[in-house]
Amino acid sequence: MEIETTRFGVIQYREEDVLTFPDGLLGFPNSRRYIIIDVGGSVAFKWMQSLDQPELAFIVVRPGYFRTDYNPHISDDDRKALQLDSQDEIACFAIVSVPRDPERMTANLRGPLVVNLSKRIGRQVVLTDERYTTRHPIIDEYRALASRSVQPTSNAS
Amino acid sequence: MLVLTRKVNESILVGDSIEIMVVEIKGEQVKIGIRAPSATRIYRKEVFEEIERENKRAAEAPYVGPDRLARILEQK
Repeated sequence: MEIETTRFGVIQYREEDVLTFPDGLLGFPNSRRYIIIDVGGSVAFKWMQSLDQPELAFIVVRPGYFRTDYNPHISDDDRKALQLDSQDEIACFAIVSVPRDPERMTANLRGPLVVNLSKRIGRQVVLTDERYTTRHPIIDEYRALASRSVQPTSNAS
Repeated sequence: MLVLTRKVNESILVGDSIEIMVVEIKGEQVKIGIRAPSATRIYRKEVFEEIERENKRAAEAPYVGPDRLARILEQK
């Protein structure tokens, strides 16, 4: 399959790589199908490109790259929406906002993207946990962790 | 929107299983108690709006891509 995107031109993808967010993302309810793509070979940061809106793409990161203790609570409702069974593999991504000064980039840890990798279903989960913010600074924690070369954890419970 | 007037300690029932009570009124702040089944998710509306705003900001913003971000992070 292929799609012509605004940012990356024509990109190829396989149907089995598509992640479906049945409710879309908050503010983007009509964009439900995404693929995660590597551009520029960053291990930590990926693009999540919409297949429904060619101009829509987010930078995403696994929170484990800067917060090893990030452990969002997934409610029963969310589990149901994700069709999560005990043997399913789960992954968590945070959307990254990059302002003009990229050093001040932040990750949205309050509304993480939780993905059932086994069934390729995703959902933006709204956490009640007040410890997590929508603009969590990344850079200091990332560098501190990278200097200890810790691997990311799976980040969900 | 349905608008009801309540005093402190008075409640509103929503369906059979949700109770909303005015617990305290102090100046401009109202403390509200909610009794609901544990599966019911209750949020301050601002949290939803904040995440929505942040999604839009993230979608508009990327002046730089992931490769550049990774390079910035790996400095120092």
